[in-house]
Amino acid sequence: MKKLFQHKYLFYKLRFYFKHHLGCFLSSFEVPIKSPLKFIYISMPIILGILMIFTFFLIYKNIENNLYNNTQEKIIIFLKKNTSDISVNKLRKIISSRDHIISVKYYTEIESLKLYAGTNSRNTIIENFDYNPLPKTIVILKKFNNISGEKLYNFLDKNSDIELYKTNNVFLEKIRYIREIVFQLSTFFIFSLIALLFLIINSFIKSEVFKMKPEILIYNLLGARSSFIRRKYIYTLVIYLSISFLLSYVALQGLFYLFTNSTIIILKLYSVDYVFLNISFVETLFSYISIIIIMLLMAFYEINKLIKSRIL
Amino acid sequence: MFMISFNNVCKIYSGNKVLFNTNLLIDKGEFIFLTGSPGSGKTTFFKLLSGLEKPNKGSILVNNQNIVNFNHDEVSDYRKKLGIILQNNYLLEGETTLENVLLPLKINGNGDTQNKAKAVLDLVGLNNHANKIVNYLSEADKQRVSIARALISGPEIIIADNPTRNLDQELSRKMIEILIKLSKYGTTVFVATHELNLVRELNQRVFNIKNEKIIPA
Repeated sequence: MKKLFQHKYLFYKLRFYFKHHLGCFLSSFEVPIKSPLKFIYISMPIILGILMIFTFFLIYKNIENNLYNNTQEKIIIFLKKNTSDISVNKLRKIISSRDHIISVKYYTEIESLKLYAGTNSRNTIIENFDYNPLPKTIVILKKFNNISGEKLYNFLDKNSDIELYKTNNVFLEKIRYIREIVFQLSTFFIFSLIALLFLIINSFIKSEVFKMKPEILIYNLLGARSSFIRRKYIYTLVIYLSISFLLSYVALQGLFYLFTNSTIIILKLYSVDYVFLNISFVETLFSYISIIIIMLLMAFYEINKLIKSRIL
Repeated sequence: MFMISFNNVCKIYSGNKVLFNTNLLIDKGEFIFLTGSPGSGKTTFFKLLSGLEKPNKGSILVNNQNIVNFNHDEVSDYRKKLGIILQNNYLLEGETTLENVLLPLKINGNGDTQNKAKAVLDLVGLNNHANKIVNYLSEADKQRVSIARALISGPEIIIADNPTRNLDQELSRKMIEILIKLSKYGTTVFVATHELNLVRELNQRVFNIKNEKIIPA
């Protein structure tokens, strides 16, 4: 076995190949471990860039989750006093068959009063059934949609059994408008920041490669193949970017924790139903792999350009 | 069969002819002094021989292979067989003498590195400086590190462009004698120099570059 490993070519070359990989990998940690402040100084733009992208992505994601998918229009219909149960059932059926309807609930006068009392914390009202100003009521929940909404309003306007109806569509319209603005802004920022991040990474690679220039020239002069020369620098860049990514992720988790903990208290005060979504493992992995792949392509291009340039 | 042959080699830099229709035949194990006035084309000749530059015309055969047609990786593999000593040394200034000397072996993936390094450093008289950072060495010592680095991998061809530039007369002579000794073991050695006294004293084959041609002196 010992003889096999002493063999000049295959085993020795293999041993050398892996040893060189290991050596390059370990030497990449030299700066982050020995002088972490220097490392943070070098990688700060990348850390901030990734952190900003993640932050805007979380804003985007949470807006989509909480405002886009969960917005429901609520229409409260007050029926006329003399509306019969048959007419009510017929009306319910017609409304239920319309587009984007989620639920149609019917409340008698007393149920309406109880509902009103319950939502407004005025239980004393229930004790006085003799005077009930509330009529029979139908509460419709539907997906907020302008076209189906208009059709439904037309129908409700023409229906003779309906005294009056109220809808929160103006409020939802405002919310939608705000959501669209924030949505577009965060999309714009995400893409701008991604472009900016790649510019930062590109200039980072260029400056690192420029620093390596004398070393690369010597390796080239001594007959090192491109793959051999690239190995050390590629490892260094991958390790730098991975640590920067990790630091950004940790900072993001810190910010997310602080933000959600402080905001949830306020949202609870106003009884707003809100779910904060964190960045998922798949999203994190996808971003990491994408950044690494693009960085590798850039680094390959820059280092190859230098290797293939005139040496002396 | 000659080891190195330059056949009608032309090298022109932006209209300026450096070598024109140059022919040269060198045998294995020869020791060649290359002389010529500054700017005559000695460095260009070395660049062509080491594959750092390609000629505008002609072929350069080394061990019957035309190095002009080599791709980047083939040139790299070819350069592993060379020992190159250039005027500017090209050393890793932040690394130790030993690390610099071991660099070719690291690139080639050769074994028994420590013993070889020790022997070569001993040969050039730098054993005491093995663990010193190159940046802190004198120019003469740096020159010797460069020579040691060129010798360590046992190259087939040694190309030395003014290797004695920073050395005193005694050390210069010693270094050239080492190279002559190596040529006796089969290494082909090219030494470009301006020290004509040394050339005369050592009585080796001399070529002179003049009027874009390499001619025996």
